[in-house]
Parts: sequence; C-alpha cells; structure tokens
Amino acid sequence: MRIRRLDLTRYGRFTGRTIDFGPAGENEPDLHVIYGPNEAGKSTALAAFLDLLFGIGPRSPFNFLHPYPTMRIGAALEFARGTRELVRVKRPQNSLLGAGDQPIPEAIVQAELGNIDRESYQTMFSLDDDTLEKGGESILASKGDLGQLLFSASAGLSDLGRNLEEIRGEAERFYKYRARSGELADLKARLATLRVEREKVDTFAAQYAQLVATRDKTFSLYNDALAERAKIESRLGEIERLLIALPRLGALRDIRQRLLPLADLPDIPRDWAEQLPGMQKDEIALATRAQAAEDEVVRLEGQLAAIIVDRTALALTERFSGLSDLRARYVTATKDIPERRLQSREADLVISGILERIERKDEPEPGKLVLGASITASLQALVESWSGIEAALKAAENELDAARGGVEEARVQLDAAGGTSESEGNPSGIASSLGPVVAALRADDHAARRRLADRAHATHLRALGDRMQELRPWSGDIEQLAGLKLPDADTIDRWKKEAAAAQRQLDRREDEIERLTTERDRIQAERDALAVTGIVSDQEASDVRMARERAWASHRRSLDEASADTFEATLRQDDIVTTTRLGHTTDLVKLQEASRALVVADSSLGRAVSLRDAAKTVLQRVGEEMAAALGDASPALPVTMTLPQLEAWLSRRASALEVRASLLSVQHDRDGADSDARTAHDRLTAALAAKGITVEAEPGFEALLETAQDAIDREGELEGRRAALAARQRDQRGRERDLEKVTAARTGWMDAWQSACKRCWLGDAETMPSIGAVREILAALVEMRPVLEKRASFADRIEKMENDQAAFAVELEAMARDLGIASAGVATLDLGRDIQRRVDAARAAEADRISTQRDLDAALAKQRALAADIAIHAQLKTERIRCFGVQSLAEMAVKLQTIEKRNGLQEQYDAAARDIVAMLRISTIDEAERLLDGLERGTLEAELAEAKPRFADLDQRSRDLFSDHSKACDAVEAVGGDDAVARIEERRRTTQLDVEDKALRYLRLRLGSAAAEHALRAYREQHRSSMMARASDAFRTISRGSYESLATQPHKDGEMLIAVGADGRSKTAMELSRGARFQLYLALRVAGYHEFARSRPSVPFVADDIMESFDDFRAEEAFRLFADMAGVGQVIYLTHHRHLAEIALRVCPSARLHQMEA
Amino acid sequence: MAFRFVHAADIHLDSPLRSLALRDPELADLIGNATRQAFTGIIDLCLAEEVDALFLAGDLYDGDQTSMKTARYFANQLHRLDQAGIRVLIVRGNHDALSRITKELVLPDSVKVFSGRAEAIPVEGAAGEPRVVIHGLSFAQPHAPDSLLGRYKPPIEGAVNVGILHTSLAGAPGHDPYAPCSVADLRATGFRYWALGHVHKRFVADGPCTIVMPGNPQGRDINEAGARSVTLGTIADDGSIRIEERRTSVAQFERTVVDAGGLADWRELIATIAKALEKTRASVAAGHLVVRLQIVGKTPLAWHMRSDLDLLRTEVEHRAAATGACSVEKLEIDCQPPDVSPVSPSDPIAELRRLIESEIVGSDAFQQDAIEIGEELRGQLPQECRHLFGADEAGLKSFVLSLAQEGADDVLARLHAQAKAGQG
Repeated sequence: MRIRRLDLTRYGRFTGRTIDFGPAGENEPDLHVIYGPNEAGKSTALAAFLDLLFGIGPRSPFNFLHPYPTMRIGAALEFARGTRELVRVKRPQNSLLGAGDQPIPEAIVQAELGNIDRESYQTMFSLDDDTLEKGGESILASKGDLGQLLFSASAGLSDLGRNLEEIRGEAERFYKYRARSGELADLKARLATLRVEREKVDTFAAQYAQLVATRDKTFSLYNDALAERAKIESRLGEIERLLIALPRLGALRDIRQRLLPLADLPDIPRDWAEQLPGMQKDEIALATRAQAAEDEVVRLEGQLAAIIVDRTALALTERFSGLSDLRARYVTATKDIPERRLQSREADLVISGILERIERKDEPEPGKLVLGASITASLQALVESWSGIEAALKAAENELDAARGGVEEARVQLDAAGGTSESEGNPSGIASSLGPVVAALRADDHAARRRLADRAHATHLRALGDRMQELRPWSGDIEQLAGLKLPDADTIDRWKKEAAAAQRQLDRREDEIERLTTERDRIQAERDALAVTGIVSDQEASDVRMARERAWASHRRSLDEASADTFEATLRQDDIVTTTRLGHTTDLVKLQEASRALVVADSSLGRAVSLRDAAKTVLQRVGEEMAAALGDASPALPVTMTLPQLEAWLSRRASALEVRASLLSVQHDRDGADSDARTAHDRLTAALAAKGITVEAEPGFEALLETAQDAIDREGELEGRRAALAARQRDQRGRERDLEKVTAARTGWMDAWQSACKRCWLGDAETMPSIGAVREILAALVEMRPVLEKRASFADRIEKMENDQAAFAVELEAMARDLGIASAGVATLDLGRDIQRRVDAARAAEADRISTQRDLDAALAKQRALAADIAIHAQLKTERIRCFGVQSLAEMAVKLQTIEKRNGLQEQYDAAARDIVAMLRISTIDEAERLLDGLERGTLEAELAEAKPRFADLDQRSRDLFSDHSKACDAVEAVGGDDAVARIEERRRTTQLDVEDKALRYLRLRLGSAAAEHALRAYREQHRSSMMARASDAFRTISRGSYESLATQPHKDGEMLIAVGADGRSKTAMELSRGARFQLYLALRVAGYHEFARSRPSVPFVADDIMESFDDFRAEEAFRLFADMAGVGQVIYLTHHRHLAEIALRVCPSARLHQMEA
Repeated sequence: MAFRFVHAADIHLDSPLRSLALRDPELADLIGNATRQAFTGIIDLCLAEEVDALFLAGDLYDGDQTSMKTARYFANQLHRLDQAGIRVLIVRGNHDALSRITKELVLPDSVKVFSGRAEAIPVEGAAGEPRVVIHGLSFAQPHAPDSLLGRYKPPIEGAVNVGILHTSLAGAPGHDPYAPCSVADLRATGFRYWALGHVHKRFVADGPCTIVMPGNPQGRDINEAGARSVTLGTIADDGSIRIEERRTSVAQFERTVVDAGGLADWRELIATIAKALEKTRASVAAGHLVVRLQIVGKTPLAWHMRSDLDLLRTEVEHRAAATGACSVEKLEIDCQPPDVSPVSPSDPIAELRRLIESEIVGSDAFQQDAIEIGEELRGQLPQECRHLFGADEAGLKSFVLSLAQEGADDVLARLHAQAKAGQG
C-alpha cells in the first residue's frame, strides 16, 4: 500500500489542507521528507494518517476546531489493484467511505495492511520517539509480530508451537508414554473384561464333550446303585414278611382245630336264619286275615239284594236333561212377549203421527214414502243453494242502483268545474308546454345571487377605505396604487442580504479595530517601555553605527583632531549602544519581537479599517439604490424610508390590492345575476303568449310566474274531474252485467227443482211443492225410517217366542205318557217338575247298586289272594323243617344258631390263610406252611439286622448319584444355543477395530506433529538468520561501526538479543546508551520492515522526528537505510529540523521534500 | 410334484461383523450377530416356502469358532426343519474341516452330513427309480489343492442329479484356492444343478447345468458390501430347474462416494452428503444400511474437512440417523484444495509443508523419531491389534512413514485452521 495524497479536510487545526505525495518514481526510492516548523501540524498529520487507516477514536483530541460530526480525512491510497479514493469520518460504524460517500468495508484497507492492527502498526512502522522506544522494548521481549519475527523467525508462526503442543496433547489422550490412564488403557481393560466375560459364559467343544461324558457316566453309576439298592430292599421286605407270617400260622392252626367238630352241619342258604322270625310271625297273621275276609263277603251280598231300580225313568234321563234349554226359553218368552207387543204399538203411533205431518194420513204403506238417497241429496243441495241465489240477486240490484247514482254525481261536478264531458279527448296542452318552463325558471337563483353580490360589494368598499388609510403618507386612489412601479421582491431581497452582510462585516470590523487598536497600543506601550529602559532599538543602533561609519570616513579623509574626536565620540556612542544592546540581549530580543508584533498589529489594524470602510460603502450604496427606486415609483413616497419600513408598506399595499381584486369579482357576479333575470322574464312572456294567455302590461317576474302556474293548475283540475266521470261510468256498466248473470242463475235453479220433484211422489201433485214444504217432508221422512224398521223387528221376535213355548209343552206331554203320569190339566211347568223327580230317584238307586256290587267284588278277590299266601307259606315251612329233620319252626331256630357259629370260625380261618399267602407271595397255604415250618426265627432276625444298614448306605449313594447326574444334565443343557458369546465376540471385535482406528489416528497426529516440529525447527533456523542479519547490518550502519553485529543467546523462557561492540564486548539493550539503544530500535524496525515486506504487501513507513538523539553522521546513515527501505515501500519522514531535510536530500537526491507552513 | 430346495453356503455362523459403526451400542444391539439372524431367516424361508430340502455347501462356521453355543444354536435350527419334515444336506468346507464343534453335536436323522467318501442320496422318487439324487463329498482337510470333482459318483441315469461342492472354482480374490475346478468341468459332469460354496460373492451360470455360488448370506464387513442372498430352487416334474434369488442380509454394507468438487459451503457439503446417503439408503432393501463414505473432489473445504473431521463425522452421523436405519461406519476424506489459489510462498504453513516434503520426511532424524513412536505404540497395543504394524521391522517402517505424510497433512490442516481462527 502506498499513500498518494492525504486530504486533511477537517481535522484538528486543518481545514481543506492536502499533502500530495505524488506517484512513486520509476526505480527511485519512494522517500518523502515533510518539513515544517513546530506547531505546523506534523504530529496532527501523522495522527490523521493513522485515523484514516484505522478509524477516528471515540475520544479524539482533534475536534477543537471541527467538532466530531464534521471531522473528515481523505486520501488517495495506492492498493495492489489500483488507486482508491477513501474518506474517513467520525462515526461508530461505517466510517470508511468510498466514492459518493458510500460506506465501504474496513477489510479493504485491512487486507492491504496485511491485517495489522493499529497498535502493531504504530509500534512497527509508524514511529515517534515514544513508540520507537516502547515498541523496541516489546520487540526485544519477543512480543508482537516483529518480536516473533525476530525470535520465532516468522510472523504467524507464533502460535504454531502452542498449537502443535495441543495436537500432541490430543494425540496423547489416547496414549502417553508411561501414563497409566488414557483411552488405550481403557480399551485394553475393556478387551480384557470381554475376554473374562466370554470365558465365563462360553463352553468350548472339548469342555462340552467332557460335560456329555460326565453326564453319561453319572447316569450309568446311578443305574447300578439303584439296582443294588432294589435287591436289598426286596430281601428286607421278604424277611419282615416272614417274621410277621410266623405267628399268624399258629393262629390259623388253632382255628382249624375248633372247626373240626362242626364239620357235619348242613350248609344252608345264608338268609334262612334271617327269614325265620318273619315266617313265624306270618303264620299267625295269615290265619287271622282269612277269617275277616269271610265275614265281609257275607255282609255285602245281603246289602246288594236289598236295592230296587226304576228302569223306565232311568231310560228317560238323557232325553229329559236335553229339554233344559227349551225350558229356559219357555220361561223367558212367558215374561218377554207382553212387553214386545207394547213396544210394537208405540211404534205404530209414531208412524201415524209422521204421516199426519206430511199430510199422507191414509197411506197404507208408509215405507213407500221413504225417498232414495240420490233424490234426497239433490233436493237438499237445491234447498241449500236457494238462499245464496236469492241474496246475490238482491245485492246485484242494490249495487246497480248505487253505480247509477255515482255517474250522475260525477257529471254534475264536471259541469260545475266548467268542463264538459265531451271535451275530454281534446286537452289544451298548457301543462305540457308551460310546466317545464315554469319549473326551470323557479330553479333559477339569479335573484339570490344579486342579493349576495350587493351585500359583498358594500363590505369590500368599506374594507378598501380602511386599507387605503393605512398607506399614508402616500395618498391617491386605488388604481394609482395598483399602477405604482415599485422595486421587485428579488431586488429587495438582494438589498436585505447585502445590507445585512455589510452590517455584520461592519460590526465585526469595528470590534476588530477596537481590539487591534488596544493590542497595538499595548505593544506600543511595551516597546516604548523597553526603549525607555535603555534598550536601543535596532534602528537607533543602526543610526549610531551609520554615524560611526560616517565619522570614520570623514576622519579618514581629514585625519585631523576634530574628525578624530567626532569619530571617537561616535565610536564611543556606538560602543555604548553595542554594549547596552549586549547587556540587554533579552530585552533586545523582546524589543525586536515587540517591534515585529507592532508591525503585524498595524498591518492587521489597517486591514480591518479598510474592510470596515468597504462594508460602509456597501451599506451606503444599498441606501442610495433604494432611495432612487422609491423616487422613481412615486413622489408621494418619502425617500427616507428604511428597508424594513419599505417592506411593511409594501405588505400593506399588497393587502389593499387584494381587497380591490375581491371588489372587482363581486361586481362581476352582480352583472351576471342581472343578465340572467332578464333572460328568464323574456322566456316566460314568450311561453304565455304562445298559449294565448294574455298578461297585463309590464308585469313583474313573480306575477308572470303566478299567472302561468294558475293556468297549469286549472288544466290539471279539469283533467281530474273528467277522469272521475269516466271511472264511474265504467263501474255502472260492470254492475249491469253482474245483475244479468244472477238472474240467469235463478232461472236455472227453478228448472232443476222441478225435475227433482218429478223423480218421486212429491211431483205427483199438480203443483210443485214449495221449498219450505219439501224441507219439512225431508226432515219427517228422515225420522220415520228408523221407526218403521223397529216395528218390523218387534213383530218378528214375538212370533219366534210363541213357537218355542209350543214345542216345550209337546215334548213334556210325550214323556209323561211314557211314565204313566196324567198330563191333562196340569200346568206345563208343574208337569216338568214331576217328571224330574221320577228321573232323579231312578238315578240314585242305580248308583247305590253299582257301588255295593264293586265292594263285593273286591272282598271276594281279597279272599282268594289270602288263600294263595297261606298255601305258599305252608309249603316253605314244610320244606325247611324237613331239611333239619324237625317238626316246628321253633326247633329249627336252635339248629340255625349252631351253623352260624361254624361259619364265623371258617371266615377267620380263610382270612388268616389269605394273609399268609399274600405276605409270602406264594400261591397256596400249604406251600406257605411248608416254607414257614422250614424257617428259624432267630436266623431271620439276624439277617434283618445285617441288611438294614446296607440298605441305608445304598439308598444314600443312589441319591447322590442322581444329584450328580442331574447336575451333569443341567450343565449340558446350560450350554444353550444363545448368542451371548457371539455378541461378546462382536463387541471384542468392535473394540479391536476401535483400538486400531484410534491407534491410527494417534499415529497420524503424533507423526504429523513430529514432522511439523522438525519442519518448524528448520524453518526457524532458516528465517532467524534473515531478520537478524538485516538488523545486525542496519545497527552496524546506523552506529557507524561502533557495534559490529547483533546476536542472540538463550534466556529464561526464550532468547535475548545482545549487541556485539567493535571491541568485541557484548551488551544487552538495556546496557546501551540511550542514543545507541534508539539506533538499535530503529535498526530492528528497518530489518523488520524488509522482513515483513518479503511476505506481505508493503505498507508506508512513517517516522516523526525520531532522530533527536542522533548526531548528523548517524542521521545520515539512518537516511541511507530509509532510502534503502524506500526501494521496497513508501517511507515518510516528518521533521522540523531543516538540516535533517537537507541531509535526506543529500543522501537521496530523488527524495521529495514537502513543506508545511506554520 | 416339484422338488423345491433352498441352497445356501458360507453361513459363518456367529462370525462377528467388523465395523466401527458397531461402537454405537444401540446399533450393535440391532444388527449384532447378523450372521445368526440371517441364518434364522434362511430357516424361516425354508419353512415358509415349505421346501423339501436345504443344501448347505460348506463353511457353517469360522474355522476358529469354538463356542458350543454356536453349534447348539445350529442344531436347534436344524431341529426346526426336522419337525417340518425338511431334509438338510451338508458338505463341509475348509473352515468346517478345522471346526470341532459339530462333531460334538447330535443332529436329527433328517440331516445328512456328507462324509469323506462320495455319496449319492436319492431324495425323491421310488426306491429303484429315484427322481432327484443329491451328490456330495466332504473333504476332511482344510486345504484341498486339487479338484474333488473326479471323486464324485457318476450321475444316476434317469434322475435329476444335483451336486453340492465346496470349491473356489477357478479362484477368487480374497479366498484361498480350495478344490479348484472350472465351470466347464462342472458342466461336463452331467449333473443338472451344482450347489457351490466357498466364494462369498454370488455367481450364477445358466445352461443345461445350473451352477450357483450363492455367496454368504450376510456380509461381515465393507469388503463384503452389497446385497447377500441364498437361492430358492425348484426342480419341476419335467426335470427343468428354476431358481430365484432371495435376499438374506440383516444389515448391508455399502461404499458411497460423494463428490464434493466445487462445494465451498459447509452446509452445502453436509446437504450433498445427506442426499447421497438417502440415495444409497433408497437403493438398499436390507433392514439396516452401514455406509463407508468416501468424499472426493477438489474443494476449498478440503482442509476444513481434515481439521474438523470429528465435527463432520458428527454431522454426517446425525444425517444418517435422520435418513433412518442407516449408519456411517467410516468417513474417508480424499479431497484436495482447488488449484486456483496458489499458496503464497511466504505463507509459513506452506513453507512448513514444503520443508516436510522436501527435507523432513526423508531425513534420518525424523525417520528415527517416527520409528520410535511406532515401536512404542506397537508395544502398547493389544496383541491382536499389532498386525497393523506389519510383520517385521521393514513393514513397520514403511507403515509408519506412509502414515507420517498423511499425518503431516492432517496436522498442517489443523494448524492452518487454527491460524485462520487466530486471525479471524
């Protein structure tokens, strides 16, 4: 980057100041020296340059003349891609502006600066005494980019070492030499855990084979033990049974002994003993019951012989009971018949009453008079419609009369209104032609407008008078006022501005003159005071010297005493003056300054006076111009009018002219209204004439309008009357038509009535019956129909009942004949009761006979059954007694008891034998006896005592073996087919992959950072020599060989710079003199600048009088180095030492000198 | 009635999956022991299709498989078939020859394990007139340098002859030669179907003799990528043979290459990767997809990816999870920065790179350091992981030095990133 031009537009003391560095010369060092005395603003310019690049700080001190919002720095900067115009203003954001004051990103400038921040730039390449020293120290402390550059060999590498450490640390999270923990250790532990886990759950093939073998082996052992155990168990049981059987055999043999004497008793069925007591009881009971049966049979046979039955009556039983219904009807009829006959006679009376009502008293068959439904309906319909027809006819006649009256009334009204009904087809047309004209003229507002205009005119005239009064002293009429030629607004405005500016100028200059006069007087007084205190002014000294020189010249010419005295006197005076001046050097200087200041003050005063006079002239000129203009306009206007007075007068004139304009407008309105009124009058007159309506001479507009309206109204009324008459006539015709219709309907009804009557006996008479008669007949016939029906029904009932009574009597008489009962003269019902009694007695006797016969049959059957039982019992008894060889049942009972005892013993014997046989598990008791007889109880007990513990041992062993076998089976089963091992293996495999993956990552990071560390060492080695060598050279140059070179030596955390003197002694920076140290610092910047420029675009190097402590020779060397740097980038040196500027130009003739004025 | 069978091979039961993706315990639960899940699937297939027989053409287990749990599981599955009346015919493979575990098992009677002598088993038809005959032979040694074909019995006249054979055919990469023979040899036998095993990649040859190498039913690592299957065969009454491929993988490995060329925006990169993942996922029918992602191309993000690999991996894993039933086992970055931005010669990192390439990597001092680092780590690694370092010193040196260059790239990428972060 290079700065082409710096615009100090508004910054610090600068306003619109520019420093133009121009383009860089071809192949010439780009070195610029800015020379300016103290206070010329060099430091401000440097600050402005930094502010341009990095922004104006929030509390910039450079706002004393231009406040913050107005501060502005501009520049033309040469960037890699061309020159750019930039502007910096003071704002929190977007303070960097480009073309058209559009904000542009800071990055544009930052990129060109190689992203150095302000502080770094200040400490590296924008130097004054302060930053040179501070920055130098920080470089030596290896801080900042240059510090890093010097010691770490390159800017930007500063963090690499640390970052590499971080990367290495990251790698070592996986594994670190001698560290016990870390990811690798964790993963290894995991692998080990998984291995153990697998071993815990897994079974290998060999193990499995072993498990199966164990299972099979235990199974076989278990089986063997079981067999052995069973054998002993069986023997133990056997011995125990034998020992039990032995005493049982003894008991058996005892019973056998007791049975022997009972052996010859017969074997009888088991139930005989039980049946014996029953048989003895039965024998007695059977004998008793046989006797009782015999008695019963005899009693019943006697009873049966005593019963006699009436057979004839019994035969009629059914026939008689069949008469019960007929009898009931007979009884009912006897009660009903008289009642029905009474009712039938009542009906006859009703019918004859009705016949009398319809005047057919002698009608033999009243049924024939009843009318059919259709005829009844027709007659009723006609009767009902008759009243409607009658009413309609009446109404129609009334309405026709009313309509005729209405027509007459309308005709009378029309005549009264003066019209005739005949002219209705011939309207006069007055309304159609006059109506619109009148309506339009009524809507016209000319009269109102005329009134308004008159009022406004009067008001404006009054206002105008007032306005004209306000214009005094000017007098004249309004038209004169309007015609005045007055100066225009622009002119007045110009006068105002000029006068105001001149007045301001005048005021300021007056103040200035006042101040300057005071100032000059003060300086004058000061100078005079100095002169009074004996200071000889330059002028006086010069006069004395001139006098001396003249005296010397004259003395030389004459060389006499007088001239010598004169010369001496002047010489002495000159000496005195000189001595005085020497003695008052300070005062003299002050005197000189005062004189200079006086001159300056005089000059300023003069300038102020001339400016004031110029302002006065302007004021005067304005006044004159105004007076001239007023004079031209009107003699009535006073020329002495001031500018504000004139402005006020002009404003009043303008309002007067406004009133005039309003007045003119009102007059115009009034004329318009008048003209409209005339036009309306003419139009109405013409319209009336056209209709032949005459008017009196010269009528007013309102009268005309009224006449026309009257004509229109009258026409309207006549039209109304005619229309009313026509409507009434239409109404009358309608009524007449209605009456005709009703009359026709009545005739039709009469015809229908006649034909209806003819269809029945009503039409038999010569005259048709009246409506009233028919209505009565119809009602009577309706009443008669049910009475007729009721009478027929009564007659029918009476006949049926009489028939029933006759049938009942005939039947009873027939039965009485059969029974031999005399019926003659006996009432029917009494006869019935006699027959009943006979029949009931016969039925009772028959029932008694049947019941007794049944009892007898039962007694005979019982007797027969008893005889059979007795026979059976006797046979059984005989059979059993014979079996025992005894005579009675009692003897037989004794025998039976003995047999029972024998049977008990036999059962005991059998049970004992069965037990023994079962115990010994052999088939017969004989074998058992043989076996037991061959045994010794003592021997058996001994064997038992020996076998029992053996059995216990074997039992325990088989249990143990069973348990072993179960466990072995379980173990084989436990292997299972689950995937636990496979899953552990998979986890192990994944963990291995994880280890490998992380190991690779570790290696990459470790190897990569190792390679980078190697490379970094090499890089530092290569680059350190470069900057250090340059700094060494530069320092040697600036120190003019006092120091031979720079070197480093390790120190605490890093390295330390030492300067090696020409004498070979080395010093640290702090041990150098201030001058030498500043030279070292500059040398470092020079070297850094070159080093920096190697890797980035160059930036301007700016230094502000940093060579105060350098002697001229060293300054010269420094400028040589600057010139050298200027070959790489732009170098700007600001100084207030002219000799430094001269040295710079001598060392580098192409350097450009820029002057800055104080 | 047609004779139907399922032909599978190289079950490698309980052989673990090899994938870093299984570091995720949830995923490990889900697809763990996939070889077993796949085999259960094959048995389910046999039952569902009601086939007549299952042919297993060798390598039931890995050779070093020692857990009886595996064998018990295997036996349990064959019992399932036995109960359904499905026969199983097994020839042993090279791995099985090493395995002890089957010997300890009692298999159902319906299972036929061919012995070292060739046998021809009629599986359908009358005793004197078999319709389908299965030939098999199990070689007892783990190595079979010569063809076994000559030892098979000649085809039975009038029957459909099917051979089961464990063979490397003419040789396949990644597989030891085992009982080698050619397709022509197989065709010359007069058999109608050859049920092969050994090579883990599906291969089918049609013709009068159908030759099928079904591959293993479940890929175990990225080198066994792609869909895996068994063959469902039908021998029609007229002796014609129809085969169908049935997918068996529980989890499928796939390599996906993402071209990040020209991408300059990190989010765009992630989106591109996500899209590639979704595309791969859509093309895979297996229940779960395990992807190895390789990102290639010239992109300004190249260094960023290297230095922020962990971040990238996290984001990609997140996207994979969002895709559903998809995991990323590894991320391989093979990207270069674009050529267009020549690195300033004064850029210190560029200079470091130059120094590393030209001076450091080849220097004795660095190589000494590198080998020490390598040896130190090797000493610390578990035994089973040491194979990384090669077999001998020379192997270790070349391994370490090859990593050094990559490692330097990684480290420089991070230094670069940190330097940029420092500036920013």
